[in-house]
Amino acid sequence: MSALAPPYLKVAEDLRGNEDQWRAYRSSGNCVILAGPGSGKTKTITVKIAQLIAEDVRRPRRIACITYSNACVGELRSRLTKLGVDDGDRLSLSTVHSFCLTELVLPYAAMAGLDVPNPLVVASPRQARSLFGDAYRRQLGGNAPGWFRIASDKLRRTIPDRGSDEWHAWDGRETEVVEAYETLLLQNGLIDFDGLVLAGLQLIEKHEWIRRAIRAKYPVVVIDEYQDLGLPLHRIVLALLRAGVRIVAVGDPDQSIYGFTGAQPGLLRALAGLRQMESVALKLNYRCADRIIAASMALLPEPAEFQSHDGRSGEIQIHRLECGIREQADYALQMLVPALLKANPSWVPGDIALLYRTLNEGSPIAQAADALSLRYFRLDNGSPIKRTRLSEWLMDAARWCSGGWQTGEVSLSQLLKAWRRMYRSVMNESELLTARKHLITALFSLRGGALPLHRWILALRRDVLNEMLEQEPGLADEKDNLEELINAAAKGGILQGFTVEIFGNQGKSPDQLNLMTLHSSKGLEFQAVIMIGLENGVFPSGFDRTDEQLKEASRLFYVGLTRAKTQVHLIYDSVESPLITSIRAAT
Amino acid sequence: MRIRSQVLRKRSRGRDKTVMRLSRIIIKNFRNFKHLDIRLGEHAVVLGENKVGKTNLLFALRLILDPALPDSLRKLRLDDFWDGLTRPLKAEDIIEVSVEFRDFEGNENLLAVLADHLVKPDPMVARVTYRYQPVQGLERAPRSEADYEFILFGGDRPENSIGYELRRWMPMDLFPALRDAESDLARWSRSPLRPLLDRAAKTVDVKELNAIAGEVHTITSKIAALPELSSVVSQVNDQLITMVGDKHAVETALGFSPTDPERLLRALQMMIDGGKRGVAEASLGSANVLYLALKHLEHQYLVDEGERQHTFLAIEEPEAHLHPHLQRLIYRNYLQTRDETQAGPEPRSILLTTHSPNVASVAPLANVVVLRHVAGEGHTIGRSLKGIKLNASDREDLERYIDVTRGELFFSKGIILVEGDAEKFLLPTLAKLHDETLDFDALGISVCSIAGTNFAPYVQLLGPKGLNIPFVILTDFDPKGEVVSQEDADPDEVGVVNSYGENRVVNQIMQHLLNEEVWTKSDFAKVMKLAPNYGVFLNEFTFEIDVFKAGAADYFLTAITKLSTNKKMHARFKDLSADPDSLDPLQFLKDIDSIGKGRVAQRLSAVLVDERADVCPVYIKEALKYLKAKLA
Repeated sequence: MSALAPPYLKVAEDLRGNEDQWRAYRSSGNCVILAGPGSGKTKTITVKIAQLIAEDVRRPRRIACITYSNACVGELRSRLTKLGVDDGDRLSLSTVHSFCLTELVLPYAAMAGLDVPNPLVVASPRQARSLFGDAYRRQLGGNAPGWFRIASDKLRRTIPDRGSDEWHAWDGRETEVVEAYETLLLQNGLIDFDGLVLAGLQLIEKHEWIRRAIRAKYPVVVIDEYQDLGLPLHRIVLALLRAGVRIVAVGDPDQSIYGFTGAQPGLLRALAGLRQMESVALKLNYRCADRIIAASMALLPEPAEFQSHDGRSGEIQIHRLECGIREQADYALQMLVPALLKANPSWVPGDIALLYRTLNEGSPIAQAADALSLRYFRLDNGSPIKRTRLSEWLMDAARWCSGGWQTGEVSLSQLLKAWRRMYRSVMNESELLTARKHLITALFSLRGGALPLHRWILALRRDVLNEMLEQEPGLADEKDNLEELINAAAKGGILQGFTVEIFGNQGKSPDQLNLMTLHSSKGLEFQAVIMIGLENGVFPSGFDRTDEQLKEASRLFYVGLTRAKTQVHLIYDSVESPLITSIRAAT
Repeated sequence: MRIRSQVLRKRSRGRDKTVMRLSRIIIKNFRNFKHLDIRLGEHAVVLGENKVGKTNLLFALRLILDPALPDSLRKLRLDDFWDGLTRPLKAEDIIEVSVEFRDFEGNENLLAVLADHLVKPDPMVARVTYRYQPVQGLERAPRSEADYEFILFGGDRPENSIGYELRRWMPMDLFPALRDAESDLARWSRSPLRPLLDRAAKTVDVKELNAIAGEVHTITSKIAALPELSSVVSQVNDQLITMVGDKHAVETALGFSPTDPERLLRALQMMIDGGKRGVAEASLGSANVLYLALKHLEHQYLVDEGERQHTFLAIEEPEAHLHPHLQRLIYRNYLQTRDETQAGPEPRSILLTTHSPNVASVAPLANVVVLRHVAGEGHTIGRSLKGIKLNASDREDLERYIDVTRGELFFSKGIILVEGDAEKFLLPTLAKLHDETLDFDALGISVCSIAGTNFAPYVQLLGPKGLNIPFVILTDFDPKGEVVSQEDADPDEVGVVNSYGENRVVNQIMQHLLNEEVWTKSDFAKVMKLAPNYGVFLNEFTFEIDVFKAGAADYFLTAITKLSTNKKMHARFKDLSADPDSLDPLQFLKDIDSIGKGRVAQRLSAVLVDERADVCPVYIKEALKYLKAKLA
């Protein structure tokens, strides 16, 4: 192969040895790729995207790639960059929300006569919360309980058509509040994130000319993490498919764990079952050892046939400790972790993850780690560092400031590009140049890994971030996140001791132990996984009663198990979770 | 060496017969345009006198569509604001150029380029706008150019900014008025032949080329080795050494072309006249034809190879380089409507600016755009014929009529529509002798004969919905029962009471001039009464008779005597001269017809000039007064 050949061709050769991956790579039409844990999903899909761009779609037409969250977008982007594929010119990489915003609502809503605010302002989560509270008070009186909001959000995502029979048949308390909330948003000149997707769905389903426009721009649409995306996106995909757009969908129904947001594993299965779709299951699991694969398959009602990669046997241990979460954490941190590191000299703390269901477990575990002065990376709702576009960018900027500018580990150009992606509304060259100059000056003056995080971030906010957050409608949710981060870094906050360097290395440093919820662990892998709090009645929780809820709990457990390459430790108090029971036979 | 013409590959495109067109141009506050808003057909032939702003119109389009225009020129200057704006400029004064596109839906590549810029969904219309405006966020009144910026955006969304991409896929290619086709053809780096040869060269067998290069080398060496020649070379070399010394001297040799295979192809030249002469010796005209042909091929290639999707070919003043018959030949071909072409539609729109009646005369009416300076207001407005509704036969009549000699219609400031050649020859004289300020040429007034056809299409062409050029109509009363001078479309004579002319005025002419409301409210008599207010003037009988009755009996006699040898006719006119009231209209007209109305009119004109006689009939006086007021 010549040295000038595009990089993806070389990586594609790696896929040739794996029959399923190769079939996915060679598929020339609509295709669903069912990708189990450790099956090389990201590699397959990124090479596939590079190939589509190089071989199938000619300029000026492009490819759209839609995925679940900003974190997923970031992950795909960095993997594609390594393959020499740049976001922008040939590829539009976005979340469902930003796809609906930039490709459908902004260009077409007014022309199609859709009732959306003009100018379009996206509600910040705080504004949305407050209007929802108003709607609830108006319809039902009193304050809206958290579960009601979650249920209402889910309702909006599962029955998109107001006025349908299904909608009318639904619990009137919920539908009335939702309708009142949507009216309030409109009256206040706002649209929320779910509203964007619903508007996008309406536009694409109702208007043939919009489907034609999208097909012309994007003859191929790739969707990643399909299992998490819910009904509105599924219907958008079906509409595109009917309009002649080529669809490549990737996901794993077994890892669908966002049922509370309206995600349904059945949608990807339904898509895969369509006559015009080729369905490819990636069966080989490169990650997990044999026993872990066997145990995980015992959790699935219809297990796919996964094959292990290298015949490592692996280990699953179940620990009955007869004590509470805090003590379980102490045991894991003082006994299990040191033993694992001792027995496996090549491992570092970053190879081990403590996984748990919710913040209820996360807080005591973090306290236990704090008491032992352990360095850790925490990812749950209690963590002051959310994984958002802005915080990811801030962490990269922090790494650049704390030495990356010398080592080249983070490049200034990548930082500037990512910043430009957030700051889309700057239109003219001179304004853009001025803003860039400010940013670069600020970054250069804030170099120094030992700077306190609080000072660093305040300076950055003053010089650069404030202006961007003021002007950018798409960053509505980031204002609150930044506020929260600054409070945490201030005196008395959880991050008060953080320097720029520590902040930048969050989740990247090999000597930090990982503490995270099962939901946050999706897509990651570790040598060893320790799951805490697997008590009967807690996991699945007492609220998980329906068949669907129980199935989702077991998928969540499945996700946890399959994060481990080699070892799994399952810890409970005194009555083991039925989930443990169901895998016992396989251990 | 001669290049044999290449057969073009069959184009794969062409799923759809429609081809994108530039459907509308709106310009505000730019140079001589205060507010121009014109709709265009498939192509645009922009007509207008010098300095009316034809080049500015093209430059406005270049701001949006020309990839070769650097951004430094895209940033305008304060001088570019329309002069009529009061200075200092206010913050809300902006320059804006918008263009709209239609009929691109059938081409998915173009739709991909334009899908974000739609302003209407069905059928799709896309709009792109250029704005030169005070820098956003400037909190005071703008003071200097530093306070201004330009933005380019699609749809109605200023935040939807547009860069190079659009210009790349659907570029405007400008052939300026003062281009030099011969030297462009002769210079490799600028030759439109180069991209074509470069493409062909890619497929040439390298071995074969090397072999040919070897042969060329051998032959060249043989010639250069002729003793007479080699001594020339050594003389040159010696002279060079004496001048600059051997360190700096270049060693020269004789040859037809560089012998490096790669350069060999670049040394190829276009030859004309069967290879006898180089293209540099071609006439101005042929070089330009060749230039256009090569560009044409290049555009075709670029589209076939997917490098672009459409070309807007802008040609300034083609008349500067082409003989009249070539102008007509080439542009009739270029501008033919798409369903007329056999090869299928070309992905190309032509934008021509011209003040040549030759080019104007071959332009399909729907493509004509006329720019006109609004005297006193200091700006230019434009009218296009895209919107006027003519039926097919009227359209054909007009297009046939607007031939070379009458293409000047589009360039006129005022028009007098008359029935035939007699009026055409005689009117300038009648007018000048009646009122010496009425010099038609100086005022830009054209007299246009409809040659016995129908006034209606002309009224639509010139009327408020068409070019909106001030005009008057002079038509004959034609009493019923007399020989009709026009082929009036009233075979059943419904509506004709006592005059064909009155029916013509009401049902052919005024119907198109009155608005719907007035038309439905008015009866026949009312409409007749309104006619002069709209510039429509009817005589009492027919042109010659009305002139005769205005006191021209003696002059007719003089003219007829010189034109005819018919003694009986001489006698008749002598009698008429003695007693004008004895006129027998039928005999009078018969006599004039026997000589020819045109000839009589020409001779009469000469007689009137000699005698300085004002014999202008009343209806013509009124018409002239009306037109003069309109032009003031």
